[in-house]
Amino acid sequence: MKIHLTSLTLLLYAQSAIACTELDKALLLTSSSTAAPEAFVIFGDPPVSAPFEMSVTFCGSSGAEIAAMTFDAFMPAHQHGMNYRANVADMGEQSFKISNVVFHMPGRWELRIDAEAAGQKFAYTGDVEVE
Amino acid sequence: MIPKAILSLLVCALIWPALAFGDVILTPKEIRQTLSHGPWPPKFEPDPSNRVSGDPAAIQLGKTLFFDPGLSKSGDIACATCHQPEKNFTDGLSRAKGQVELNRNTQALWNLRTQRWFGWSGDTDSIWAQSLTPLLNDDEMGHDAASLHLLISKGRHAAAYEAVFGSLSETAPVEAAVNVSKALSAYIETLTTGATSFDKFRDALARGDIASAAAYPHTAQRGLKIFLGHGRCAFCHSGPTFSNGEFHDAGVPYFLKRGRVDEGRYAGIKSLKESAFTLAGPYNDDPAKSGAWAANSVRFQHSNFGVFRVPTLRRAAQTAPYMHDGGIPQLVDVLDHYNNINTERLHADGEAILRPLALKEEEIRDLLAFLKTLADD
Repeated sequence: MKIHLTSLTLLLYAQSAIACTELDKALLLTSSSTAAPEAFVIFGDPPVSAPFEMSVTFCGSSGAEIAAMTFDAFMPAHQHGMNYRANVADMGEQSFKISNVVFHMPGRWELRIDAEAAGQKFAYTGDVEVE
Repeated sequence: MIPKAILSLLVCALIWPALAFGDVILTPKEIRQTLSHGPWPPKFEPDPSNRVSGDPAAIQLGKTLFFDPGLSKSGDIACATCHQPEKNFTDGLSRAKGQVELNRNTQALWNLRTQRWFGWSGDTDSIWAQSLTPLLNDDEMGHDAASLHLLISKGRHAAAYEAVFGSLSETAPVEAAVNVSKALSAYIETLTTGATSFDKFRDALARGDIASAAAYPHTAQRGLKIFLGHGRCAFCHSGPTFSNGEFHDAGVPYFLKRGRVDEGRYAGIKSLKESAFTLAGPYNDDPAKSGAWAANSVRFQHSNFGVFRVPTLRRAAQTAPYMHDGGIPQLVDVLDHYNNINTERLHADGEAILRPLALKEEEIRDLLAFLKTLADD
């Protein structure tokens, strides 16, 4: 899924957990599992080759707590990932802050998020265009 | 209210391609891409990791030290021996020559304050740490911390040093060596290139001043279009410095003499992780250690093997020879290298960015014309 990111810029540095009712402009990630809670990512215009932050919020009717989350990103056209490990911090209320994300080239990046809830593992992906 | 420059660009975007911006032949997307390569030069901001950054006395001390051959243990090599101002702070040689011939090409010192990593392999993350490396390398300046401390204490730089850093007798040798490198860094930070004809073109586009932008030669504009498009150059040569500051496989051999190899970034990260002289270490003067994130989170990967830092293209037209080993004599040869790149030389399991470009002769000429406009300040 692709979205226009400019409108999200003001939300970039949100420090607190994002409520599920505030996610109408976020990027909805896709998951192969229908049982997966919905996962939304919020970020501004990603800079090229400079660190920035994202936040991820999980929403779903099951209410299962997200016990763990990992983040990575990959550039399919060039077959490489990121040169830095991003830091993931649990902000509570099913939200996570991801810092030190560096997309070091312009083009399409694929976000890859794995989450664990109620003993089940869910994989998510989403596309980001970097200019 | 929409700013005037944005409004002008919007208007131009609406009428393109019917008018093709008068004599500006870029598409709206190419104009957006072009704007990302500026503005230039950047405003000076002191390096928080170096407490004497921007201090005039430290800059003067660093400049004096830079040109002093006494800074080498043998007494015959100054920083300026390899980084010659009249040669854009390079030496014109394929491989640098210290006490022996070294393995890599001497890089220019322009605009270093914009970089995240230093040297071809990024084994340091600050200018001061990078300045310390040749001072303490037996194959280059050949000092150790004790001999450098003694040299400064007993030599002609003692008063200037103490005016900036305080008493030498109360300073441990390692700390004095780091201070010397921080004075050198304060000087090197001042080496910035100016606005070129490309920057004037880019700034005119940013203002929506199409009449002024049209003064930029068509051959350079055509070269810029190739650079941004099918030349695939801007994937790595991005931003105002025309470098993403990262490390890539350029298809250049990394074999050294006697069957050895230059491990490039792979060795650079190993050195970085073992070094006390990083932004994550005790010699960083920034209490917040704001720059330490890169050294702390950089990934050590097999694909780091034999890859080298993407150099800036500003003044590149004046800093031959090229590539990490200085193996390509002229800029046109670099374009030929990428145009006919031997993909057999690329990592089999590495990134897939490069491929033969099949540019025509006139396209090579245009690309060259564009690159020269990054060096005409």
